[in-house]
Amino acid sequence: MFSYWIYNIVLCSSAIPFITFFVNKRKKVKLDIFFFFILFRLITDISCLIMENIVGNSNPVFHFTIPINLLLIMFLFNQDIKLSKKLSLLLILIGIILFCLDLFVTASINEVNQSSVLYSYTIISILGWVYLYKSQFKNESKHFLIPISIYYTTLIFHALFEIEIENSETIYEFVFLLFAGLTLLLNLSFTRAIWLTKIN
Amino acid sequence: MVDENKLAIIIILGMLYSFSMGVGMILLARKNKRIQELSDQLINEEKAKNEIEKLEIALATQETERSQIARMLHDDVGAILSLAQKNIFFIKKQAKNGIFEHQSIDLTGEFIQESINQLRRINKGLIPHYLLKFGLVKALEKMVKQKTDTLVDSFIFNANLPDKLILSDQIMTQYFYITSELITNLIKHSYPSNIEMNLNLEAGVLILKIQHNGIALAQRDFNNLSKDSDSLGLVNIRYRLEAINGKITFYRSKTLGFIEIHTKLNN
Repeated sequence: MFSYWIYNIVLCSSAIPFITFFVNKRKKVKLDIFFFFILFRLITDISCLIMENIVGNSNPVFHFTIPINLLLIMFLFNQDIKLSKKLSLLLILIGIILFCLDLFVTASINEVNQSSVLYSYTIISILGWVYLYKSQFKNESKHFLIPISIYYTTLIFHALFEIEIENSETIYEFVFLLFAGLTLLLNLSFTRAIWLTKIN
Repeated sequence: MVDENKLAIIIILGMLYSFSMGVGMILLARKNKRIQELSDQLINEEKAKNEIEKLEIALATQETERSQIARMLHDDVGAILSLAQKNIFFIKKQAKNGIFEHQSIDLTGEFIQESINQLRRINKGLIPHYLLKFGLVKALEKMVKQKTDTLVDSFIFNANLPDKLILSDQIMTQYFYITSELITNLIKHSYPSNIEMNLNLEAGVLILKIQHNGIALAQRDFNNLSKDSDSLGLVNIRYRLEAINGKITFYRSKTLGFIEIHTKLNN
């Protein structure tokens, strides 16, 4: 029951950065990729909440949101580190292949899409470190790209054991607290990033 | 059950390890950035210090020149003019007594003539006599020919200035010395065998173009050299250009190097 409430609270926490976009008087809402990313995370979390409460399984949502999440984050990084078109297309193509494999071959829609998740988190993590190396904290995007990098680097370990976590209530109880804490921290970092972003 | 607990701990520790590694790397990168900023700041300070030193050298040179001129004016011209003044007083005094000092008048005239000659000599040291007498075109031609005579296979100079054009002493002097410095540097460092120089007036802009087949500099090279090197010559070029609101451009083709000096003339 405790986990259930934490789960709901953490899911709802993605609304905080979204609301901040409108509350922060210093910043006019700008329909850029970061705004869509925040909106997308909110929609994902709402979908999870609905699916978890109605069907009791949020895995179908992740099958679709993980590749889109990767795509949006790639766009976010691309603003600063300029990925080559070929590399971007290759990364997206691998993502689509893994999405199909998880949906039809290695798992099903109701099961954990581990390979997609692992691939997606690894790519985001690598992009994060490349960004860190190239940008040297010079751009304002650091306020949200650095938390994204740390978050997904941490979650690689989580993704590695996702099936075990899913299948064992004991492991889930332990790991979920950390996962929830990290997600909450990420949402708060996004809120801070929106708050700190200057008006252009 | 025990295995599950162990696995949970392994996962948590793994996640915490990744998290702390991520945070640690960020902190390290930040520290690295700070070090980089500090070293950049130090380099800039050092550069500024060098600039000041160069300026000090330039000012000191200027001061030495001024003192030298003052000394010459005082010792040579001043002394002769004092004698001339004394003679005039003597002539005046004698005239009151009804005596006409013909010899003293002649002597005073000689003193004045001598002081004029001395002034000319000093002037000649400041601005090349040839430049004042024959103008920029002739002076440049003579100066470059003298410098390149035995060191360069061919030197061509084309000047296409309107007959009515009157250049100020300031522009003539600065163009003369900048060109002199550039030609000296060319011969010393670029080893050209052919030099062609063109002086034109285009839309009110006086353009001196030097074309050579030696080792050529690009604009970036010149900027770096004039900032980093201790050469007073390059510093002087910059100051002289600033004095006439001039601009110098260096560029090169596959086989030739080009230097252009531009100055917008006021009238």
